[in-house]
Amino acid sequence: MAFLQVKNVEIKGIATCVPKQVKVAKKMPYFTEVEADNFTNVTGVVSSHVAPAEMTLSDLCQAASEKLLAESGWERESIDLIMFVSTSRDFYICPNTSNILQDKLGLRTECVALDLPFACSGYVYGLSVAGMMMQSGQIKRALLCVGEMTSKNQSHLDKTVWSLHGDAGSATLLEYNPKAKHPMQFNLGGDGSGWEAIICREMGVRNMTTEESLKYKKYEEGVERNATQCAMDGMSVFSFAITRPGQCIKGLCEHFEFDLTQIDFLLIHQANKMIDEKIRHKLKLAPEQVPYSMTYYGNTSSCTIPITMTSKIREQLSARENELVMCGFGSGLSWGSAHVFTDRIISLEPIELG
Amino acid sequence: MDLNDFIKNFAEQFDETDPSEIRPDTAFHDLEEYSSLIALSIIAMIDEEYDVVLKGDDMRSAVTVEDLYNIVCSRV
Repeated sequence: MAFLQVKNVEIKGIATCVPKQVKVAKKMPYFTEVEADNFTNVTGVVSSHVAPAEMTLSDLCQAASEKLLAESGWERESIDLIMFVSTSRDFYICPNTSNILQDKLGLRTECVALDLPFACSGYVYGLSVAGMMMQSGQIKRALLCVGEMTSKNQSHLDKTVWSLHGDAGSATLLEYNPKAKHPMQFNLGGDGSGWEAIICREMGVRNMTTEESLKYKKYEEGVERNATQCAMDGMSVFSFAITRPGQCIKGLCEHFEFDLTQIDFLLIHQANKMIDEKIRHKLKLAPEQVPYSMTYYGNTSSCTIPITMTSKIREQLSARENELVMCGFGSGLSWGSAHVFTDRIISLEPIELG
Repeated sequence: MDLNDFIKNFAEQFDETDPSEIRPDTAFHDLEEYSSLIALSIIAMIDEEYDVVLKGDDMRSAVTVEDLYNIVCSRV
């Protein structure tokens, strides 16, 4: 486990954006009647948002950023860093999507642009990397764009992933403040031996995409996909998810010596309700401390923490100080947790695009 | 670790299957009620009761209940 402490950096605002179109989880042809009935009980997901063909994640992040910049009154010239944390890049190899966003948002060419291709653990990693880059004060303002457009790399014929996931993008404003009251604290880890647990196997340079890669194969009833699309070993992911995130959060509390039961909210990656409830029970937290947003957004990968913030605790974030613990975990395998204070930040209702 | 306790805990993950159907030599993948959801309950039970983290391949490679018991024993 790697512990990091970032001083002098604060979250100032957050906005999220989803495509307007909704997919209803249980109304999918691959489910048997029993499976459809069980699905929402187990995962907690009723529906989620899905993008049309022409829309990308950077479009969602751009819309969230525009709204947030307008609300904050920050001049575009004042942004020194734009980071894009996602595996849903506009172009998988190059260029970086952060470069494209820098141009589209009209940010300065002196602004540092950086992509971090993380999946579900991405929000915590993005916050830690941006924070580390900012804490000495040379970079004073940053725009952190985080999210995923899972519909682009998943098969709509694969019941193990399609109904669970949704598309969403976010933007977070970070600012250097030498008078910040609280540091941001992190515990980051990973286990590459689990690299095959969530994988797009023939997308990239290890296994180049061929004509064969694009042919759909049926693995079992209700599970059809091609080799470029995301495949998830549900059982391995489940056993990882009910153990590592809890340990990661406990490690964070012990190292930085704070009492988890006293925090306002645990913002946990919305993997699915069964997993998140097991984590909550292990950590002995009350239901009201652990808000769930998966009901109408699904698992939006790295965007689940921002979506929970903007859809479930928006008023609390705007009105008062909050002590938060965040935890993301997923493909890699990769995980991370953060202990963060916010004080009356801008938090905007999720925008719908399209 | 005791095999009989393990079998009892294993059987508790099923709703409709009679506990007497769960024996050491039961090929559990063939039980009518067995599903991916039951598999997750078994993984969670093994984590809670024995503090052992199974991978998907462990569940898939075990044929009988005793096979799974032996995998858990080797990691306790």
